[in-house]
Amino acid sequence: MRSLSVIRAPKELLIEDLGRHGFGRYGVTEAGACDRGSLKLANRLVGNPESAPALEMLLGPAEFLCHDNLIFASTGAKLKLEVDGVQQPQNCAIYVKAGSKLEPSMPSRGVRSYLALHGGVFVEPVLGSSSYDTLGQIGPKPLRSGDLIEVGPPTTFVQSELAVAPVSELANHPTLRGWWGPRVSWFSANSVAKLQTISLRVTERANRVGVCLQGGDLVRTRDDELPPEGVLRGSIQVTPAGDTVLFLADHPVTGGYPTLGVLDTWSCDRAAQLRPGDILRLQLRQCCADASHGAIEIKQG
Amino acid sequence: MDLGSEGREHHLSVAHRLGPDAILIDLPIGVSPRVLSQKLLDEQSNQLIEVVAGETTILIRFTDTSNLRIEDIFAMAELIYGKLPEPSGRTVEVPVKYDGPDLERVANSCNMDIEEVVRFHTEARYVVEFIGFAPGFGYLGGLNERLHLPRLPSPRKAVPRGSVAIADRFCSIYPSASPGGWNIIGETNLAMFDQNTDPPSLLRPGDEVLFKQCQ
Repeated sequence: MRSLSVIRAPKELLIEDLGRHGFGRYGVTEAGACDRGSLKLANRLVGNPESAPALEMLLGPAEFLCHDNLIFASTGAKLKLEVDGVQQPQNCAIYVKAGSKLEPSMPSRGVRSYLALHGGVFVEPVLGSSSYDTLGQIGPKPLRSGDLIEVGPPTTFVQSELAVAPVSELANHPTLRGWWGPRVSWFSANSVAKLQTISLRVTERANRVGVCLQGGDLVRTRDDELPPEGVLRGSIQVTPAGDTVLFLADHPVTGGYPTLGVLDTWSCDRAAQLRPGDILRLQLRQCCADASHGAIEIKQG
Repeated sequence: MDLGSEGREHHLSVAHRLGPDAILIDLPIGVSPRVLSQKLLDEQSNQLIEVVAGETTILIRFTDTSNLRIEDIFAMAELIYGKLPEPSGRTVEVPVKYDGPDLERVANSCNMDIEEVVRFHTEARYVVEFIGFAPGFGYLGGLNERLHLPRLPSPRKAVPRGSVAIADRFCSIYPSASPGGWNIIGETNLAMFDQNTDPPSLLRPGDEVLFKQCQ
């Protein structure tokens, strides 16, 4: 089997696909790439199915040694990518020869980058997925320096016609969008209205489970406990201390804090690239009743 | 009959949309989330990606091609009204060393000494109502009312594996190290989750759980 080794692991080096689904009733969360869009793009660029397992890197720098001829693509966080000391573009399929050294730098924007390999990273799936879940510690263990990464058999490579996929740069002060959630009425109308107009700051408390924001100042109108209920990737919860938490891929299956809203697909991916200190805004709207699934008895908040 | 400001009323389910492909339903008292989730999985699994039963709610993620309507789900809820989930018949005994970081605060908040907290905690018989939060994390109902306390205002970033903790009317055991906001009163070395067994969770809904003090 073709392979490459980890010479130098970044802060976190994980194998992720599009997640583990259907085990929520045992408390098993979806996991998978935090920035799904970047994983899908990396896989498309190298001719894999979008869901193929690839590498998710948190920060950098990192160094890999290829033992075989490989085709790879780097997406997600913006970084400087070198192959044998020569700079190469991201968001582009790159052919490397056996013996080549791959060196992604520390990202200058965003925090998570993806490295897809033609053929996909090969590991034994656990509960139907090759993803690592940091919350439940399920799936292929995080990779360290010295580890060998096996690459699946080459499939028919469909060469992308794009030299470099156009990817817009991660904006400095992003606006994350989504919809109001089921427990808006747990907060004062004033503080909920104000939330749309203020800037929130990303704290140091950020990982694959969620990103904790400061500055929401949401005022609860009731102080009883919410019965634990299901949450999603992208759920926005507010702790009793007033912190706003954006859930990422390794979110708990159920949560006990009221869900204020849910992020849309793009914003879920963008949230996975937030850095401590980043400033953002939230823009939430009512979920329209006829979006899908026919008529629905909706009660907002 | 009004059962709260969220509109949960007798025989009335309320659906909240959670983005484009999921809903959360507040179920009326008398409709067990556990029974409804089982019925959905038995009859409609090809339309569903995920069903998560909460304490009084059910969260459903639909497939892209699902044509399941909310009315169908409400009709199902009507059908199972009054149907209680069945006990599993299993009993799991959990050995606990009562030395958690929150034990003293719990005792103070409940106007007890530590021995009383341990006694109240070990005397109760618990039932796994549902599994959520993290893999194998069972919500155990049956906690003595005198030990009902809110969660921490800010969750801890890391709670050790095996922590025995209480919050509100529930007790639970953290199956792996994770963030968490519950009050930790002790620890156990029992393995709660094994990804290589089927089902992977030691606790299953309907199991009886007993806690036993050990040193």
